[in-house]
Amino acid sequence: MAEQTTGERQLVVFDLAGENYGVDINTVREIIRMQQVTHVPDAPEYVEGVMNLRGSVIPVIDLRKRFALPTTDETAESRVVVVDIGGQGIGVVVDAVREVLRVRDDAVEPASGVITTADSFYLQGIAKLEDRLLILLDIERALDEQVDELRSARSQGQAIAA
Amino acid sequence: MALALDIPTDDLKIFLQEVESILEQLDEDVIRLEDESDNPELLQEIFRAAHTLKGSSGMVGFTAMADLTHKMEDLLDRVRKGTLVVTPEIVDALLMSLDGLKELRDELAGTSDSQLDVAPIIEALQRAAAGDGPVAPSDAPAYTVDHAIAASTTLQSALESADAPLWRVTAVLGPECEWKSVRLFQVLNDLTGRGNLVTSVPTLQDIEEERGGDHLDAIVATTDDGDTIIAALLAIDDVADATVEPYAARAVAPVEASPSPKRPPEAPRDSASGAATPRIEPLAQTVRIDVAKLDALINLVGELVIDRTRVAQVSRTLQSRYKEDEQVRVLVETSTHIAKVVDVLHESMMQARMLPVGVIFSKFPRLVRDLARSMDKQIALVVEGEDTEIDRSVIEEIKDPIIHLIRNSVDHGVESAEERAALGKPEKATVRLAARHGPGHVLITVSDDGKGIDPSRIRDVAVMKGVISAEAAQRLTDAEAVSLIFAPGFSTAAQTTEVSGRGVGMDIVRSKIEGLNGSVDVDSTPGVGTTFVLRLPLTLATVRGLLVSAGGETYAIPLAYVREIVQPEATLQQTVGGRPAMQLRNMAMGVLSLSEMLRRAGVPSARVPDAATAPVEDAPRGDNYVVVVRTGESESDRTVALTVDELIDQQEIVVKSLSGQLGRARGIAGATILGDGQVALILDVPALIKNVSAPAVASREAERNAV
Repeated sequence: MAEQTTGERQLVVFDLAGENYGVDINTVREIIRMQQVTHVPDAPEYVEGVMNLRGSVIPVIDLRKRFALPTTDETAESRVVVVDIGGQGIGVVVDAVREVLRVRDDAVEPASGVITTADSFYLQGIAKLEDRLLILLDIERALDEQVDELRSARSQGQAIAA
Repeated sequence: MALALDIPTDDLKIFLQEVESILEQLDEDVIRLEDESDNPELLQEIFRAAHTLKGSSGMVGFTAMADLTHKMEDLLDRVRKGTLVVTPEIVDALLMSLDGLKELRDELAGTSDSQLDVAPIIEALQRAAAGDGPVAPSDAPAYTVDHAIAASTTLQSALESADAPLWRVTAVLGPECEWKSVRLFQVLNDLTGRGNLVTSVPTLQDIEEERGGDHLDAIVATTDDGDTIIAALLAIDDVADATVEPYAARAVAPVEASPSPKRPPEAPRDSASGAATPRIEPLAQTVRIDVAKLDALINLVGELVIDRTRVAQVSRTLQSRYKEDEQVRVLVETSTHIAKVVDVLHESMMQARMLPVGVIFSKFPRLVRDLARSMDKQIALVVEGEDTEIDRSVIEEIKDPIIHLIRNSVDHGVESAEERAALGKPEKATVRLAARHGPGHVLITVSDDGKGIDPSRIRDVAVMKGVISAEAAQRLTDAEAVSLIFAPGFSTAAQTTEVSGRGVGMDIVRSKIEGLNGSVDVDSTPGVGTTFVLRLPLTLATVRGLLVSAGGETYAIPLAYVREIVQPEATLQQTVGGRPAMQLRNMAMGVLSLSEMLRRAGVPSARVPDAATAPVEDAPRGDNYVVVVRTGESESDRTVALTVDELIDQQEIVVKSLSGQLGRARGIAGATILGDGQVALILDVPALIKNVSAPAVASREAERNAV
């Protein structure tokens, strides 16, 4: 992406279980309020169901369930971040969307060595901001089914990504 | 690929498309040629097709294809001119060339790596051309201007009124000439420039249509002298010989004027040009469009259809709230009009996706011919209803099942000629492939007049293979027994040949057709023949669905599967082997509670917390209606009763696919968007029915009943 050459990336920042996550703005199609979701039998557990996004039916993923974080009820702040994965829109439920940030590449460190509640496999790195840390999520990896299979093939040792 | 030039991808695409459509045409025509070898229009069409291919492949520098088509053209030209008679060898050589061309096309398209050597095919073409002992064109008196003049009084009077000396001019091209038409055109052009060209054989039109041959005979009125003309003609490349002599109009008389069979170039030429004139179509009134673009348009229209419903709902609400408001009245009128337009638009877009089944049917004559030849059987394929239109997405999916059914008929259905003769049947068997429209669906039948399927043999095999118990087999009616060929695991291995392994594919045929919301049935009479009937939806883009609610969600059941809807009171409910069943009139069937089944399948229903462990009785739902669904037309064992809470509506719904993210959502075929913007799931009835009979479900069912 163009940002990388200028040494900077633009991120959409959202909350999930008390932590700040950032995803590359180029993968985000739009951010909408929670919609009514239709459940789908036999879908993976982290799939909330499907919803109508202006005439297309897109799956909705609960990122808390995806990362095996404790689940909560939706609030007025809950949002669906619609990301584009290979041309397909996927809705991702997050606790709240905070802001759009520019982060210099030299402020980003590899994920290893920093404790996080999400599996480091999904992470591009950690951005050190003045007052907090920002987890840079590789959303494509995080939503990839095959990755999921890989992950479950490894033992249940998530949340200790040390 | 060995292209001489680097051509742009777009041009390559266009070239490949052209090749594709020409090959399709050729496939069909060459097969027809075998039976209609004396049809000059057909010959002309094949010749043109080969010629066009030669031209285009030469243009993109695809020499292998250009060489091959060049030889085909040579052969065809001789057939067309009557110097060669169509023999099975010639048809074989042409078919072999077609196969070669297809391979070359695949190489160019990058779907095949093989480097086809066209030399053997070219050799076969040459052998075919030689095999019949070519009638040398010189043996027959050539068709000359004398004949033309004798046949035309206009020409005769033109000769008499000529205002300059008349010259009879002939020019012969050398055998190595590659651009015959061009050279002949140059000759003709030269003559025209000298004065008044009275007539020529071939004519200018013949030359322009590449039907010139290598020889020109003309009469020209000019003041130039003979030597000048000869010198000018010989100066044209490839002109090997030229003669010029003064022409006397009186010389006309002695020439035979009656059309004789000894004038081969004449007859085909006349009928061909007669047929050719209307066939030089003004640019066809069609546009090729990328399927992806068409699909994108259809999706947009699908969205409009959904929005139309919502707008209509909102404007109705507004109308009841503000009855007097002029602006609201205008809004309602406008939305009604938009709704109409959207409906028409939607229908037109659906039409645009339709293709005649002939697109795939055209491949089958070749298939049957090759199969029949390889098995030494005599079979006529009768194709009916090629114009029947069906959605292109359906067409793509049904080709393989139909191929399988046809192979099956040829291999297993039809007896050898000797057997047939012994049975008093015509030696040539008939396989019939027919398509026709029914209400809301298309019926495609594949039938043969072969030996039929023996139900007792099917029973034996099914029992042997463990598909069914001996006891159950005896209870089946003959028709039900024959339907066992569709059962998974049924394979009459003893009969399996390389052409078709019956049984191996029949269950796949069925699951493929059912995957399209269709059904397949078989009807067979031993000794008389077998008929397979495929019943297919017109389109996969929309489906007529019954909307029901179960467990708080709305589901759509494709109406094609719904046989009847009854109230539970009309049935006798009981359990069979621990599984719920019900009896409707005298038909027994398994029962599936939709809400329960979908919950069990993993729906994390927020409305019924901890539903998986809750006893059935506690669930806040009704099971108020019984929807009887069935996949086939006749098989009672594949009927299932679905209990639902409520019936909502019956409507045409736009099918949207579910993304891969949702895993293998068993029992769900897709989704649709309702008028209120909600997403409703479309049930996959064949999968549900399979689920009911799956042992895993049965045992879980038993557990549930034990609770």
